[in-house]
Amino acid sequence: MKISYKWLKECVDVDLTPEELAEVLTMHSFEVENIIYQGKGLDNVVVGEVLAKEMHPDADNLSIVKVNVVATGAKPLQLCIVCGASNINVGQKVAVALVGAKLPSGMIIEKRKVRGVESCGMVCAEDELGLGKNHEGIMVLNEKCKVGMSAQEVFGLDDVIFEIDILPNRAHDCLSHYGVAREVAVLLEKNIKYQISSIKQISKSSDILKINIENVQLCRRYSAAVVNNVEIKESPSWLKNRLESCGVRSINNIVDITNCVMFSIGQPMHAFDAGKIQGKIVVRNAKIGEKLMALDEKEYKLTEEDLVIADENSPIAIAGVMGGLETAVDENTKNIIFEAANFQGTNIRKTAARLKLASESSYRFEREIDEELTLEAISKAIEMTKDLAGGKLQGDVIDIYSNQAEKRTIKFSFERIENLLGIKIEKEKVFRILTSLGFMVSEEDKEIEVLVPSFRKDVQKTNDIIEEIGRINGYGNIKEAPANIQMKSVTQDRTLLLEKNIKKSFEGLGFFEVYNYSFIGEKEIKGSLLKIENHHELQNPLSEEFMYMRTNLLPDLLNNARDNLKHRESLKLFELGKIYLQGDNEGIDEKKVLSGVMACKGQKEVSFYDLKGQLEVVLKKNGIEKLSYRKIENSENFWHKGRSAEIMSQKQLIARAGEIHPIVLNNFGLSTRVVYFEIYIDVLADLITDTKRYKKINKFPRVELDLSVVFDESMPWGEIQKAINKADNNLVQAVEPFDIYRGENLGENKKSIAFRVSYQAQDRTLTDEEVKTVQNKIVGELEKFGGEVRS
Amino acid sequence: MKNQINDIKNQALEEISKADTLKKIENLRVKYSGRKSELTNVLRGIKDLSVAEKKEIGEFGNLTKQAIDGELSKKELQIKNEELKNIDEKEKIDITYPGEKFAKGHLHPLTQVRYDIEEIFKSMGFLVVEDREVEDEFHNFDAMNMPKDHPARDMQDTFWLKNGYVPRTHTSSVQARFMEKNKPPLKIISLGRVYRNENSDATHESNFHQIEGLIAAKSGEVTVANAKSIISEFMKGLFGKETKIRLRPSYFPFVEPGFEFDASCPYCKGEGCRICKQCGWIELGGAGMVNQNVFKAVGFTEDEFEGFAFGFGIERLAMIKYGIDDIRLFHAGDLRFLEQF
Repeated sequence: MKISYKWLKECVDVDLTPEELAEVLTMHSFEVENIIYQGKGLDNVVVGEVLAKEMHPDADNLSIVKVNVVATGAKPLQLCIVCGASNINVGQKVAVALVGAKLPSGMIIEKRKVRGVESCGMVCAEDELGLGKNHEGIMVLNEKCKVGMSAQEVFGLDDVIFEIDILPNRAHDCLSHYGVAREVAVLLEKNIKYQISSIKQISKSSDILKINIENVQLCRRYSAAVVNNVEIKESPSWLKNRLESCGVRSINNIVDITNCVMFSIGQPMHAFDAGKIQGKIVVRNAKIGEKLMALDEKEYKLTEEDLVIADENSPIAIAGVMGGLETAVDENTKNIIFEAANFQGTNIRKTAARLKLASESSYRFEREIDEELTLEAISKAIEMTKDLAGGKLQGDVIDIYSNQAEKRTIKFSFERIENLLGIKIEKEKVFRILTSLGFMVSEEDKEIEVLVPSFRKDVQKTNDIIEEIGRINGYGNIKEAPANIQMKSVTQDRTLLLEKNIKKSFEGLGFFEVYNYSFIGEKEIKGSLLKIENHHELQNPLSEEFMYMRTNLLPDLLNNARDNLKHRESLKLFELGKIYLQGDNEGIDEKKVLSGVMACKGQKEVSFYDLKGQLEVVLKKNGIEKLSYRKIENSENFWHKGRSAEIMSQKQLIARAGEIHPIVLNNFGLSTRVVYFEIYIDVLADLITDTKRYKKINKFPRVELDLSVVFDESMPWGEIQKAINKADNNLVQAVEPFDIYRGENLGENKKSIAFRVSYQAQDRTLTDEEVKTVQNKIVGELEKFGGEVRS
Repeated sequence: MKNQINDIKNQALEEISKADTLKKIENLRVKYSGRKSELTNVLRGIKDLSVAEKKEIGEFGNLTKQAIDGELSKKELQIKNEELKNIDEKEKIDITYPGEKFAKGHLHPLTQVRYDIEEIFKSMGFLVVEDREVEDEFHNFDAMNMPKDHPARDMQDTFWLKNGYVPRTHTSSVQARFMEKNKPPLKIISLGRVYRNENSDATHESNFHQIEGLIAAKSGEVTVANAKSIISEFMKGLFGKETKIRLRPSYFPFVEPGFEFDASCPYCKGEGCRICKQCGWIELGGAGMVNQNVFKAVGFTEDEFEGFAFGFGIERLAMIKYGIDDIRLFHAGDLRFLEQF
């Protein structure tokens, strides 16, 4: 909310600079987000009178003017200024920026020559003064303006505006100058300068105005007054300036009065043209099909949920949100009805939200306001009307207050204050703080009883009161004290540890970690050959690309790969994130997955084996041993089924890895092979056994012998490995294939696999015969699978 | 014969002492110690001596040979080391020439900050916990003292799934989830992804990450003073020992009293700079004493426990720590950004 420093100072004595005040408010009440010095940049801009004008000798569109900028009486100072505006004429009062002025636009005024003629200043256009966007010629001021007067004074821009972020729980009482002043008065220990006006004649109904409240739940209080024979006119400049400071445009004196009251004490008001109202006023729910043309000249369709102010025929205002255009006060209005009511917040909020119609009024009602403000508002409005519009109050002020708020008292022990804040505050100080805030305080044994004033709707419980004591006393006064609390157990989650270790393993292999959005669009889903119907859809997505919750990390990783390959040769990426699958009962099954891609441009394309090698390093390093591989059968269609595998450990599917299908790569605009993997973190976490055991270092020599064996093309290496292990699992320490050869001499559909077998015993140096025997056993076993040893 | 041997020795030692190249040493070795050396020649005559003389001269000859060999080795090492004295100059290389390139990996800056944060809190005895990202209405809102129609629900622009679930708007929901299963005393933090329905710009994102903290214990055992201490330790751990904190009143439905925490700007040390918009303080996150309604929502008796909870945006912390000026970079997947961390 915008708070005028000038206005505030009328309510309370402030002996601080705006910055100091902002600091005090920020540290004790609510944050002052901005301090705006009105008229900043208008220093050295004054009213001048154009005395003479002649054409510039060297430029057709420039003129040379003589301007007087010194008030009569003083020694006149005539400035010679070169001006480009065509609308400048002798006798005009204009805004002159003197040499040295630094205008809001950032322009610095200096004495300089324009086409050979010296110019001492500038005659300003509206935009140059930061007062508007108009650059069509210079700004011509009212002829009554006095020469030499400062621009700030002329435009009423000598105020300082605080932009304050009033907290939602303080909207009840602080969305007004009086509310903020009350806070300032407490903080600076000053008295508030405000006279509560009183109304002598109040009744529930009068001959002049009959009011019927049909829904007392939604309209807790309704106060109104009729003022006849008012003169509708422009507001005086002080009032206009005041409203402008609050960010509101001036309309006419009566409307401005209602707004002024709202910004003053926080009670929204409305003024109806009494002449346009048929019969009595009814506060009721709207009827099906009812419509209202509001003040913003838009028609709103109402529902039975909406509360309206109506006359005998139809709605004349959307209660607490906006008045109707038909009954609005205009230049022909003679008699008016002022309304100050209290509406229930939730209902106003729903109506405003549904109609997408927010106003200063609805903003306040939504947050609930003090029921006690209505008469005060009416009284202030009547007073101001007397001064600014004439007219006479007709009959009694009407006040219907059927749903009275209950008074709240809160009781608690003094101990509680120290127990919550961690600081001892003197009893006297506690009393002083609470009393200054408007609470009534009494003491009973060791307990304190607090009566909450009607305007502090936020204060409901003990902690609310202690908060008041704490913040006014100052949180800065509370000294830090370590908490002496221990949990029974702080054994950290193993899954988190596993995630960290795996991430570090990938980092060690040169992978980059990326974070992608949890949301995904139809294009990505379809492009990855995933099924839309497996995705949870958002009701209110930000855009089409963010319509669904992802079920796989692949799509964005492919996007990442494509984008980054524009400026690098190769990449390895991974992401650890959640995917959101269909759970039971339409629920959501969240799974943690670590997925990654590898790609390389040009000749050195990545292969399944590149990936497999790296995955094995990561998995083994993290305690997952005994991996086996099988073909991907039932899984997403984005896999290249011939070059991908499911990775198993302890009979569990722990990962899938392989090439991405070229169709998908095409869909994503990728022209190089991409290998992809996904590790199922939740599954892995259950498998980790951490059973690394030390094995004695074998000091006996290792014998290595190579074999070349011809097999059918379809023979997988895994089977060969198995056969060798079957032949011997004692002396054979390792089997590593190092070459595959295919050639005509082998015959069709044949391949020759060369591999190295390492033999070693734990307790002796092996003899040639021993090794030979084992090798023969291996050859024998391989021959059973159709293997033929090449010599 | 002994004299002969002595002469050879003296001559050898003198020549060795004069030798100044490895080549000369090698020649001297042949001359005095090799199979065809003078000494060997002389000693060959030993076979004609008596047994006693054989023994005496033999031993003497061996000692002499050892002495000569010793001197040769000593001199050789001396010459070698002499040559090495200039090696630094001779083998000088251009150290400004680039090193070999190795592919290096990078953890995401948010991960790195996350681990930093976890370490700080673990050292203070906190347990790190995680829970669902897509929440039901109860845990995201109701349990956090934001019942339906509560205006505070509007404070957080919420995404809704078609099945009625909510991609959580804050990690605070973890508080409720954890307390449903665990009674105070509690000291937990939870880090994870949260969602807000707002268009992204340099400081706003629809997907971002928070750290949530909660300590709770019997009434009277957790105070605002403790809260300040915890946040202070956290900030010192993240931004350096000299970091100061301050708290300002604020409002969040799930706490009462509520605060906002500021830390002294780590760039200008509170002097005022561009990063802190000249005020010397940087706004970091919200906190407060747990609202009793939250305890009630998870089934505890009102006023039995007191707690302190806080929430910070991890992106924001990372932006301050690394001087990043656009939050969208974190989710852009641009390796030119990521490789800087």
